[in-house]
Amino acid sequence: MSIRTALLIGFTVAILCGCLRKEILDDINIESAVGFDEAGKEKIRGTVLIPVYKKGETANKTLTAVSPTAKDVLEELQYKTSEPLVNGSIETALYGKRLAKRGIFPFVNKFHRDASIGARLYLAVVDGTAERLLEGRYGRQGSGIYLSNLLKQNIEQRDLPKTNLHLFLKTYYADGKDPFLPYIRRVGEDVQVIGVALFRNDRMVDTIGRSDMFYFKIAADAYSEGTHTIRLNRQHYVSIKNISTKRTISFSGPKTRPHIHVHLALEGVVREYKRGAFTFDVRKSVEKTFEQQIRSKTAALLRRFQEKHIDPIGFGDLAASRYRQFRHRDFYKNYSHLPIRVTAEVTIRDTGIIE
Amino acid sequence: MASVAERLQVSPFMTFFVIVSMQIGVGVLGFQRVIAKTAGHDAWISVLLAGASSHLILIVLYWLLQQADGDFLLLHQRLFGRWVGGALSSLLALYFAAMAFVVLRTYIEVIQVWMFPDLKTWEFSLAFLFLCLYITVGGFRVVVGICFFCLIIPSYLLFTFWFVLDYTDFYQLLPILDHPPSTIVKAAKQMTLTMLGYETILLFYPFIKRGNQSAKWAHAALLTTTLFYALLTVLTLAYFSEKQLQRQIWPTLTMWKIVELPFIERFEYIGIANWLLIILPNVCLGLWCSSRICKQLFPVRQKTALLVIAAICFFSTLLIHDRKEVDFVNTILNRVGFYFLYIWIPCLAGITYIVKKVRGNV
Amino acid sequence: MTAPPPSVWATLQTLGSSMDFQTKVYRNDTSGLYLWVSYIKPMVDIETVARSIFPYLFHRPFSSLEDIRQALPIDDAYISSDPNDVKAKLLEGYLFVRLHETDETGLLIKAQKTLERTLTIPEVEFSVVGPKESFIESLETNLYLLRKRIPIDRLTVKMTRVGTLSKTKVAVVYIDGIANPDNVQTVLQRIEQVEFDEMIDSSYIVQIISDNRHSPFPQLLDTEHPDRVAAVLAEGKVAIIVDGSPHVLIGPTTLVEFFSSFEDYFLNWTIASFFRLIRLFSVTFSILITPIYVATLNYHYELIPKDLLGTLITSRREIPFPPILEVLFLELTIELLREAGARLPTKVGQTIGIVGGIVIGTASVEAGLTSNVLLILVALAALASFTTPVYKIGNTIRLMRFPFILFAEMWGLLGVAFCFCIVMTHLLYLTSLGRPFLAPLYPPRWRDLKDAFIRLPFTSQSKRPETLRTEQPIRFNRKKAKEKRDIDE
Repeated sequence: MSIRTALLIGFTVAILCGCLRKEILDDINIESAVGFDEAGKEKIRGTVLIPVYKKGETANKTLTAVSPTAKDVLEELQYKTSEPLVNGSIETALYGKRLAKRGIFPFVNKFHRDASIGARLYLAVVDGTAERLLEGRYGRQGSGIYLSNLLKQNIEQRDLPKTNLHLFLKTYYADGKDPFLPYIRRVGEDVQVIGVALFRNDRMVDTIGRSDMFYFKIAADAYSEGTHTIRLNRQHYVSIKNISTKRTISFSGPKTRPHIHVHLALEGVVREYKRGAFTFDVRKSVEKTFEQQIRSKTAALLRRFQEKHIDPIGFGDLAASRYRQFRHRDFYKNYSHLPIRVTAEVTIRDTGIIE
Repeated sequence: MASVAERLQVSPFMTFFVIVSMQIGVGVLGFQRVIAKTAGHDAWISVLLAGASSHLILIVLYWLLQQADGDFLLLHQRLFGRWVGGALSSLLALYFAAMAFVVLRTYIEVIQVWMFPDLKTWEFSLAFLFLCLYITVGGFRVVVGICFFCLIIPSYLLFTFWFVLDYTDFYQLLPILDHPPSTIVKAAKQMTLTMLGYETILLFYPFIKRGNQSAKWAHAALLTTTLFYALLTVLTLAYFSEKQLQRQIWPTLTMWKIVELPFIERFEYIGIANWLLIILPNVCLGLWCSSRICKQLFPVRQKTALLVIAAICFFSTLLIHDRKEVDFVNTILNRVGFYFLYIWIPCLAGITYIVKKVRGNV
Repeated sequence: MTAPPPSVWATLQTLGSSMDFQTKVYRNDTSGLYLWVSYIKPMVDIETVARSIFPYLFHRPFSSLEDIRQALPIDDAYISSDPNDVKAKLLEGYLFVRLHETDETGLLIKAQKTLERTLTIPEVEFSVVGPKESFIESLETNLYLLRKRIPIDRLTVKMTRVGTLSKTKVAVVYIDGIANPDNVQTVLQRIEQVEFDEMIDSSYIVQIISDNRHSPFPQLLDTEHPDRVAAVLAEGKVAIIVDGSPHVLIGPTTLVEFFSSFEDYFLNWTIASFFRLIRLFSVTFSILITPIYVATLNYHYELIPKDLLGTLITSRREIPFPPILEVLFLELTIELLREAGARLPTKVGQTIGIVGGIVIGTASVEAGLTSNVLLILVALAALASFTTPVYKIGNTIRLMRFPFILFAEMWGLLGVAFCFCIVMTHLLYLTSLGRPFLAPLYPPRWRDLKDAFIRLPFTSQSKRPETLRTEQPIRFNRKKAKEKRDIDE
């Protein structure tokens, strides 16, 4: 009985003393996106996007502050709001192009350290400034959701390779792979994905345009869904959908100077073909043209990576899993001159519901 | 045989739940980093090695228990006399009490870092220890009940790792055995620390009906934890890149960050709250073991001993202020546990064997 | 208690102070002897007396009380001179016949009036299919209902009287050779030890003989279904029937039994199992949903999916109170409605329910006192708590919510987990007649799980529950029950 009484007293005391700092949902400003820009030498401009929920529609509010270091930019903003700013629900973090060229690691590491940030946070580089992009009004559900949906849709069903905070950090810390991020731009009242930004460590060194994104994705990541249009000759186009790809990378030769063979197997369904019946011969020629295109475009991309001395595909890590006692430094010493052979194999499984 | 009334005993297969729930504790949240630092992507082999070694130790433990008719403390006394044996046993009591306290403090640290930075240590520690007292006062049956439910209920967390699979690159585990055997063994030694917990069998053995039948369940328990740890290690190694993993203090929690369900955006909060259930048997059984030793050694009631030990645990948690100190006590405790199981127990077995040869019985 | 009256005469004097006690003097036609007949008027069935007792008293010759007793067509008549017995019987509705006014010996003749309502359909535990009769307030009738269903000699009834004032008859019923004698002994012993004055209902007994009297969890199952009692007696349980109570107690019971409706056995096992799982889900939902709401809104906004965030925030925007007050306000409103509905006559109660539910709910949302999301959650939680087939556990569930809400307010999800641990420990402590309350979950009896969360078909229910430790563990021959047929046979 005495223990029970003690328990009761203990719990009561605990309940009475138990006052943690609350973050009541409607008494906080929940950031949905943040942006970082360069603001002169050694200064950073931070922008946060806060959705203002109303019945039926969501308005946006942006706050901006300038601060000398990465750490304080967002804390600086607390002075400008009536309710505390919280960052647990950030879906997208944007980096201005100029800042990206200078290095974004301090601004990513901040998220890495923060326990309340999710690993699925999307990172992207903005052509122009993040501030200007965040000031736009997109979509009915608010710009934050619009941006994350835009990236999500492009990753899951289009040509953007999979990226998020976790993958950026994984490749950033990996010895044999370099990170890449989506490259976006504000166009009027819309945001467009215009390519992929390639990084060496945390500095953006190159971009891939939209036309090459498809070839980058099949080389860097698996493709499971989406449509790609190829040009047969001057006026003939074929749309191929439900593409699924399988990438095989093999190495041969010594581990410091291996021969790399990239084999891309691709399956798809014809969605649109305007000229007459899609016969066996047409199919063969489509397959062949497509194979040809994949070979040349992918090879060109890989060549470019070698010249820029970046490895977004992760050849280094893949080689490390094939060779015992692999040393990344030796591998990258010769990286620019490694022979890379690309082969492709396209199968068109089906022609849709009509012949 | 230490006589324990039959109504207080539990069936042999409950040994499984007690051991598994005791082995899985705060260690699971962060062991991968340590072993990966030594053995890199071959760390999972170290886990299997550590598991195998724990099976061997368990066999020795059972042999010792049989020599002592089920009462380990009696063995100490018979071999070393009343005073030295008693002193050794009270060290063991201290060890179990320390285990309860370290587990609790580490969990509080996790909460403070991940969930509530302003959670007061004393407040949570007090409430938690009261809960543990409430459980432990009910005796071994209630403690085992807690072990049982606290293993069954959170087991759904295993399914969450299915979501992690999307982000794993299993080629990172290749080539297998790329590290020299010495480092793999060294990592296995580090891993044994995470496997600790099965030594509690020494104390709760008399509480098992037909005790000798429990051996197979105890081995099954070790096998289960080993496989679970190995699986988790494989997933972790495939999920993180090597240097990234070195940055994580609690890789298991970080992995949960990627889990997203249609109705729950972030899973780690659920995971941490659920981890309370995993911690509970650790602390309760630690308190129970410790107070049981006190009851057998000193002329005190177990209830009194329990209250005193809980109070000591409570004040000890207050003494630890930051991560470094939490790490420090963890390391110390683990080292003690390692020496106890891998040095002291084999020595004890050797002495017992010799004494048995000379005296004819122990 | 006063000391027992020294004589029958004194007893009659004491009773005589009540107006309804009457003593009349009659003269026998043939022998001319006088008879003093005493009785308590309301307890006596006048018609029986006039038809089958008085003719033998007044018109037949006799010389002694023994002659009358033999002549009477009523079995329950005997000669007694024990003052206590005379008093007790008179109070039950016997006639007391003496030859002289001050005689210490007299004839007791049973002329009890029995007024009881007829058998009706169950009102608390309603079931769509299955038998419709239910127990009533009479012990004899209730025993009759049981005996009719279990017509075997091993159905044993042990009777005792409980209550210093009420002298209520309590019957302990079990099947000898199946029920564990320990369980029977425990029940009998606890009932013997009951120290109470006025035993009104079986629910008094529950509260007095429960293993833990402070627990909000009922530790004996009460039912008004004779079929259910018959079924659990056959499983090896013990039933307690209290005179004057239409609810029969069953023990030892387990937590899962409270969530199994007896209707489950009348439906196909797939459907029954589905219903059980639904019920289990609804109970969990009912207890946890509002605490989770409080926890999430207070501390864990990160958990909320981004599409839901807008909905939640817009619904909370105008609310001036913190989530905890909002939740407590609504929960208490619902409890208020339930309580008002239960106290009022059925028709009015329904109206109150609808008016209260719709008007108060809508108005409080309109007025900006509560958010509509929470209104839905609380209403659903209340609805879910009514899916429990046993009324008493439903109350427990509604009560359980409040500590959970408080802990959620204190430590968010961590508090919910903490409170869960407390409840779990409490349940581990509980026993029902000394048997673990959480069985077959803990201690695990894997075979008993056939009838816990799901109900397997009858062919796989050939064994009695292990937890009960019955004397005869096999119910029927499983091999015979299983169909063995080849294709096209």
